[in-house]
Amino acid sequence: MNKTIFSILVIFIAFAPLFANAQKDKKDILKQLGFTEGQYVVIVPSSKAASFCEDEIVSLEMLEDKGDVTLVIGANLIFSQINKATTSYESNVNCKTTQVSQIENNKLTITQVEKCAGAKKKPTSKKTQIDFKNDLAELSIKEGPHITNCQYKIAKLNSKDK
Amino acid sequence: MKKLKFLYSFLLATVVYTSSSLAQQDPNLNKQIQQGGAAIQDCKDCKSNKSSDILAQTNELAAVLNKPFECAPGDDPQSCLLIDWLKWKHQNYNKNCQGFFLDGKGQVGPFSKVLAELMTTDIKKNKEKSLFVNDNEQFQKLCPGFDKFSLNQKLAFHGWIFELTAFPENVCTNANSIVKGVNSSAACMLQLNYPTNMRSFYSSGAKNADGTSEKHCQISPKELLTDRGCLSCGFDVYKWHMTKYDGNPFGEIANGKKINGSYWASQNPLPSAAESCFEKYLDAKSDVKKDPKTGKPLFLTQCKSLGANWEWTPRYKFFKRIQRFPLCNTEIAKREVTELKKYLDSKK
Repeated sequence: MNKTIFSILVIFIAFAPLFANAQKDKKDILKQLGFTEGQYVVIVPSSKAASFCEDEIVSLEMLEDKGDVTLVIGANLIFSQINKATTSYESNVNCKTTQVSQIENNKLTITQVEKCAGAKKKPTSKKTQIDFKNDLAELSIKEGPHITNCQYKIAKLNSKDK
Repeated sequence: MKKLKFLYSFLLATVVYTSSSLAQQDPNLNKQIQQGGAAIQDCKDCKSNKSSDILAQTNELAAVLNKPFECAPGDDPQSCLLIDWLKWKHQNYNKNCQGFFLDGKGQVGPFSKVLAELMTTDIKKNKEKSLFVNDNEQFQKLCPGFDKFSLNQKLAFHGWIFELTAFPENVCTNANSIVKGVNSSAACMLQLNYPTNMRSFYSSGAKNADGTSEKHCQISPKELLTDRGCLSCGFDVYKWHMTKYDGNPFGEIANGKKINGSYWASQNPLPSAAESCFEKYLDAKSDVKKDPKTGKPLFLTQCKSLGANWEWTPRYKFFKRIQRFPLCNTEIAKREVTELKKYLDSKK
């Protein structure tokens, strides 16, 4: 093996884990979260909840599109590019959101910080946590200075309930 | 995402489109078209699912889209009714929404044109497998008679659903449409997710028969704020849901409730007691007295005790409005047609 080929091989082997990590796919994420897609029922919390938290059935699904993994909960909650540790996107006119995703111990944590050009106000932050355990998904969204705007549980429906 | 306006517009466009293509099947109609008008006549084999028949009807639709729609003596009464209704809606609906209807000269509005192009393109690609060709259990329930509609009439019904969504979402305009949604900004007349990464998956899920998909939602936020961008992405959202739920854009039903989806997710049927309560107050337009503290109609307190809530008001209205489509065999549609006739008589 000549020197050039050997060097390329060493570089490839050295960086392969990084590439693999960057390209975490839907299957990996489902496994790490111990999560199964399907129909869940929202358990209304005793405290005041957003309208989304009404007693209704929602679908939880993980979609993969050209390497991007998106978690969709019901009609309104969409968490995009959760396979990437960090990503940023245009979230409003003149506003950019930087998103950091972390998957650990069956828990998905998404932190979003939005900065708007020309705006006097400080950047706003939102932290979403979804804890998957035993067919139960506990979801909490904390936004800005307010502690909670939605905190509830969603329980997987048994097949006999469908 | 907001919920309902989308449907209304689309339906309108479709109806117009359909009617005109049918008109071309008659030599007399061709004569009229040459003279500058497109009459409407129903197809001779409306329920045919042969690819060749479907393609022929679709091509006819596309060919007359830029012609004014007119109704001539001897034309199919149902199609004439649609044309009159679409013109009437243009007159008495919100000005922003006129693009979904036929103007006074019978020209198809710009929103309807976009939707009609999208649907006919879909049919050309997918032929008899197109979701816009097929019968639909949910539509049949909402609009008895749907399964007997011709291809063009079905397209019109889909368009109606789009218009019904665009109206309540942002009064059929992209101006001042960006608002804070649940976990991203919502934008355009259909209140779709503003960031591209929050909506591009809809397009990937809206599969064609050959496994390919359109890319209407994979556009920039700036493009989303155009009429074509918004309606095209909305089309993919609509198709995504239909693909998922066996041709049903409203979602799947479990335990008597609809499974969440997108726009149409919030359109759960009301408990019957709550529906009766809404019927009593909303239809009678007796919701004049409002709670001084909340600003909401007082009757809601009563309906709430029967299982309704404030958020269900648009759901109720949406399902009622769907049934206004003049070809549905519903009491609401009959009332709509009666009102239309009064309007037409007043113009004589």
